Amino acid sequence: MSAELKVLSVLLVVWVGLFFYLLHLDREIRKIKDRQP
Amino acid sequence: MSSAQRDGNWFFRHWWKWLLFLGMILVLAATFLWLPVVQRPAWDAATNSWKPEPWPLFRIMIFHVPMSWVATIAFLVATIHSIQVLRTGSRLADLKAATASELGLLFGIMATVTGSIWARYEWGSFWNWDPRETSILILILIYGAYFALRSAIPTETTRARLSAVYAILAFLMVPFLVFIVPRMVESLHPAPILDRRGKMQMDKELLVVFLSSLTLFTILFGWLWHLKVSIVRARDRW
Repeated sequence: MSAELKVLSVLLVVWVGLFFYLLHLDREIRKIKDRQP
Repeated sequence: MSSAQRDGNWFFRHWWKWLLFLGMILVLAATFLWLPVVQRPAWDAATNSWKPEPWPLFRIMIFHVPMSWVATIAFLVATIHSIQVLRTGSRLADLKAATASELGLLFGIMATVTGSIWARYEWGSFWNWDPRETSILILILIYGAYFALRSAIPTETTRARLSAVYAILAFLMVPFLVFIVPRMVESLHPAPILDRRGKMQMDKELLVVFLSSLTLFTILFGWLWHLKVSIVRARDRW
């Protein structure tokens, strides 16, 4: 595997992980807001 | 409304997040797989002439510059909300200013790290005390002190007002450190993206990927900022 592909793979894993974590946080906040009067 | 319906609506209401997700994947893939490697002139001692040489390090620029851009935007947002704190005493404006400063600091550090990686391969060492490196370090220290100030004041209203004054004064240093100093002093740093005529000297493909990255990083900042503000408000119930 070339150096470019290695760096690309790492960055893709980081981005996908970060994105779904942010999405998860977003949904949790929405749930808390829905529960608040 | 059923939870399935609510989830469906949620998906369509947040379409821009999926656009951000796909856009960033496309930018990453284009940077490493699609863009042709930039050629730059290199001195060939054997023939005593300049010859084009592949320069794969240009890829860092596609992420490094948007990170610096987002840091500057974040500090601007922090200043605008700090002015609002002084005018209205709003607690929400204080939270927004502090959050924007945090993100500005984070993106500033990321820009410094990516710049250092670039410097390692281009100049031979991670840190060279180049004017650009020195000015971003000073900026990071200035905004680091902002959080030291915030943590040192226990009273909420005093903390909000004092840190607002500090944030406004700190932002006065941003144009000086980011735009003026690096242009006044001799630097090894590559020329600014915008030349003296205000134009970008880039190949069309590179320009498209670069501007996409700039836009996506700005949207990511907006999302992170909104998320952090919402988390604090949900946690503290206000």
